[in-house]
Parts: sequence; structure tokens; C-alpha cells
Amino acid sequence: MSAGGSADGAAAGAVNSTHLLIMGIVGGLLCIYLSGFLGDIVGPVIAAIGAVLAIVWGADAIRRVASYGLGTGVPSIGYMSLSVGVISALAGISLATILNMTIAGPVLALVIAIIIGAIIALIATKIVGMKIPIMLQCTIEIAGAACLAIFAFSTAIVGSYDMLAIYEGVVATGFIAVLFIMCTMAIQHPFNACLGPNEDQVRTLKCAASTAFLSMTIVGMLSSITGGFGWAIVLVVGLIGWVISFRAFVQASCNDAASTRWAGLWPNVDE
Amino acid sequence: MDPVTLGVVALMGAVATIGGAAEDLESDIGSQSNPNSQVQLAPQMGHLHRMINKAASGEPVAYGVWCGVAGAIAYILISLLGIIPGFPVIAIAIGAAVAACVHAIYTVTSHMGRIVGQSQFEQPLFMDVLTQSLGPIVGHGFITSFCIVGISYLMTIPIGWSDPLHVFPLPLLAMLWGIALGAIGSSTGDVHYGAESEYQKFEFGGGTPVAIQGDIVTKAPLGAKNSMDVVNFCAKFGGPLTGFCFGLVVFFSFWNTVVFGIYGGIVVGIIIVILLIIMNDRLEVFARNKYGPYEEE
Repeated sequence: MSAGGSADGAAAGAVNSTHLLIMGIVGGLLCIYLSGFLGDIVGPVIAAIGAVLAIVWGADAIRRVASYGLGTGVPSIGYMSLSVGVISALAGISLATILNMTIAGPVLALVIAIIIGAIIALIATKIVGMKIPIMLQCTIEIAGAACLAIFAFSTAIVGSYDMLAIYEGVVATGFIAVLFIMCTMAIQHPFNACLGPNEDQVRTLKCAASTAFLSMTIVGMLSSITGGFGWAIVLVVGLIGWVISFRAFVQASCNDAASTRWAGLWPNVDE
Repeated sequence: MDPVTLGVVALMGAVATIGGAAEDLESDIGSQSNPNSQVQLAPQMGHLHRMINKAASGEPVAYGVWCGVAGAIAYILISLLGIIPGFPVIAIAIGAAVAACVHAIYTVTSHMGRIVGQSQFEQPLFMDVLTQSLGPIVGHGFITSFCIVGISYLMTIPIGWSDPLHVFPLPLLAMLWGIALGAIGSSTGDVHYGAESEYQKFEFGGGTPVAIQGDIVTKAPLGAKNSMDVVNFCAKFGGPLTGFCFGLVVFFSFWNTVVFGIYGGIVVGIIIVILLIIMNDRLEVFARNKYGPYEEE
């Protein structure tokens, strides 16, 4: 699969990557912290929106690194980074509990994700010998986004970022595995789905928003296990966000396509 | 040995066979995974087409998602209403239905995204191709998710006098078996005719070397070749073979420990693996002696 990416290496786009990075980190962390103060009804929705922001950031980071022609490696780097995300999210809340500072959990998780992401990227570039200049930065970014997405969705399911609650409601029930694979898909799918010489950053980000809101809708269903009505709001907000972003993606695709047809054969180009 | 558990293990193998066959056929309709995933290169090679390009990741991740989501929804419903007799079957069906919706959405985004990503080569976005293939894709996906969550559920409940076959919760098991099935569908299914159909103008058995990737056949005996032609071609051998392979994997994962106990089961498992290695070796030596190495013209 060598169709991936634009010919000029690093993918430029209409939306500044630094802005997306700030949106992902600040927005993601802020939403997780805010959800702790907003109670059982509004809190989960805010946490889930934090995950959506993190996923959009991660999808942009995947787009930048994969533009160097990763091809079939797009799902692979997603898989790898999400595993870092799961490990660091759980390590972060555990460390915060050991240090008796529950409030530090999300930040600690992010820091651990950055450290593990950096080590993996250094192994990939220095030992394995992958020649991708932005590998270090992008792996760190994807791992960070993965960690925040997993953390925020877990918070949305149980309604707090307390270690015991997350271990009981997310790990023991096996939902952590579903979050892992669902966030992998949500982060790596947008670029993997849109790649090609005519890939466009804005269209890819619309796809990222749609996959993120779709995951949020599923998380809404999963959070029904903890009772209350918070889950229904997560589900409805996720569904509304998905309809808007999916519609935007389909419209953008129809506009950017060479031609959109409902029947017939392809035009005669050079055959 | 508990005969009831053995019967359930046999049932799991049979269900897994159906799920595996459906999974491979689904991936053949969607031109997913290598080697039949090179559809996206076709416009660059000058072949505009009416095929589906469902690049929703590789099959392992994709089936991890569909089966994981189905398992999680079923788990919630069972934990809420599981005491009603027979309800778990309905819960698993509801879970598989939700997963089918997710599957449909990812199919639409990946097909549209990949086709539009090739727009400079004048590849049209055929909406009728998408709508007519979506039903078969989602239908096969539903059968697969239902089968996988079904066997995962059977692993988590006590059967007869025995303890459950596995201690993991349902969503985790469903995701793991989904990934396992995706990997098997990708490795076993793809080499049986998905690519042979799309690359039928090249000599049989030649594989898809990089030089011919994207050089697919786009015309059928009547009109344009489409993804339904590929799946009809694969339904005879590719799908059933994948199902048979996955069914055996599921069956042999539990049969040895159920019949011979834990330690005896480990020994029998090692013997089975050694026998399979010998059989594979014999088969390959036979094929190489009979047909010789692949020669480029």
C-alpha cells in the first residue's frame, strides 16, 4: 500500500497543527478536570467531549507522520500508541493514588504517555532505523492523545477519575479493551480512510470528528452500566455531534470528488 | 471429561466456522486487507472501476471493534436483564445490530474517503455501488459479530458441572476473539481467490507482486465488474476455508483441556502443534515438487 501521503513529505494543512495540539492537551485535560466538579449528569458529557478533542488531535498527528508513506503502518502506529495510552492512563491513576494525590492523575498519565512514547520513537528511529524526521514528536503526540482519550472516556463511563471506580467500572468489566480498540480505530481511521494524492486535511479532520463522536455515542451506551441519567446525555450529545460531523464529511467528499454518480459507468479517460 | 462441556465446545467450533466464513466473505466484498486491498491504486494505473474500497483499517483491528462493541452492549443488557430465560440470545443480537451500524458508518467513510483521495485520476464516486454493497457487508458483519459474541458468551458461563471455560469478562473476550478472527480472515481468506478474482488476467498462482498492484480487472462478462462478483467468486472456497480454519482454532483451544485436563491438555496441545508443523511442511514440499518454483516470463 504505497498510495499513502502527499509527495512533499510533511503534510501541510489549512488548520495549524500546533493549534490542534493545544486544543487536544488543554481541552482534553480541562474537560477531565471539569467533569470532576460538574456532577453525575453533566460531568460525563464534558469528559467525553475531552476525549473527542484528544482524538481529533491524535488523528492530525497520525496524518502528519503517515504522510511520509507509512501505508499499512497507519493502523500499526495507532495500535502501538493506544497500547501506550492504556498503560499510561492506568499507571497515571495508580501513581496518583499511591502518592495520595488523586487530582494529579490525568497530568501524571499524560506525562507517562509522553515518556513511553518518546522511548518507543527513539527505539524506532535509532535502533530499528526508521527514517521519519517527525517520528519522535508525532509518536509522543499520538501516545498523549491516546492516553487522554482513554482517560476521558473512562471518566465518562464511571463519572470520576478515582482509581477504584475506574478499576471496578472499566477494567473489571472489560470495557477497557473496547475503549482501547475503539479509540485505535477512531484515531487511525480518518487518515487511513482518506489517504491518497488528493487527501485534504479539513476533510480528514471532519472524518476524525465523526469517528470521535461515534465512539462517544458507544461510550454513552457503555456508561449506562453505572446507572443514573448521565449516559443518556452522553449518547444524545454524541449522536448529535456525529450527525453534524458525518454530514459535513459526506458533503465535503461529494464536493471534492471528480464526479458523483448514482448509476452508469466511469468516464472514458485514457482507455 | 464432562460430555456437556465437550458438546458445547463442539457447538462453539461450529458457530465459529459460520462466523469465520461470513467474515472472509465480508472482507472480500469490501476489498479489505491485503492482497485484495490494492483497489485504491487502480485509478492511478488507469483503471477506473465500480468496486468498493472499504479500507477500515486491517481486518484484525476492524473486527476487534465490531465484536468488542457487540460484546460490550450484550454484556450490559445481560447484566441488566440476564435473569429472563433466553434473553442473552436477544442481548447478543442487539449488540451485533449496534456493531453492524458502526460497521456501516466506517464502511461509508472509508469508501468515500479513499475514492475522493483519488479524484485527480477522474475516478467517480459511485453512490449506487456503495448502497448496493452496504447491505451484504453489514449483513455478513452482523453474522460474524453474533457468532463471535455467542462463543465468547459460552466461554463465560458455567456449563453442566464445570466452571466457565474462561475468567475474562465478555467484552474483553469478544474483542480478543474478534482480533483473532480478523487475523485469520486476513491470512487465510485473502490468499484464496479475493486477489485471484481481481487479478484474474494474470497467471493463476502468481500472487500480486508490487509491479501489478492496482492493475485490476474492471469489466465483467456483462458490464462493469463489481464487488458482488468478487464475493460470488470467493464464496465457494475462500470463505468456507477461513471458517473451517477459525472453527478448528476455537475447537482446539478448548477441546484438549476439556478432555485431558489442564496438564494433559498442554501436552496434547504441543503434540497438535508439532503435527500441524509436519503436515504443513509435507504439503509445501509436495506442492513445490509438483508445481515447481514460480517463474517470471
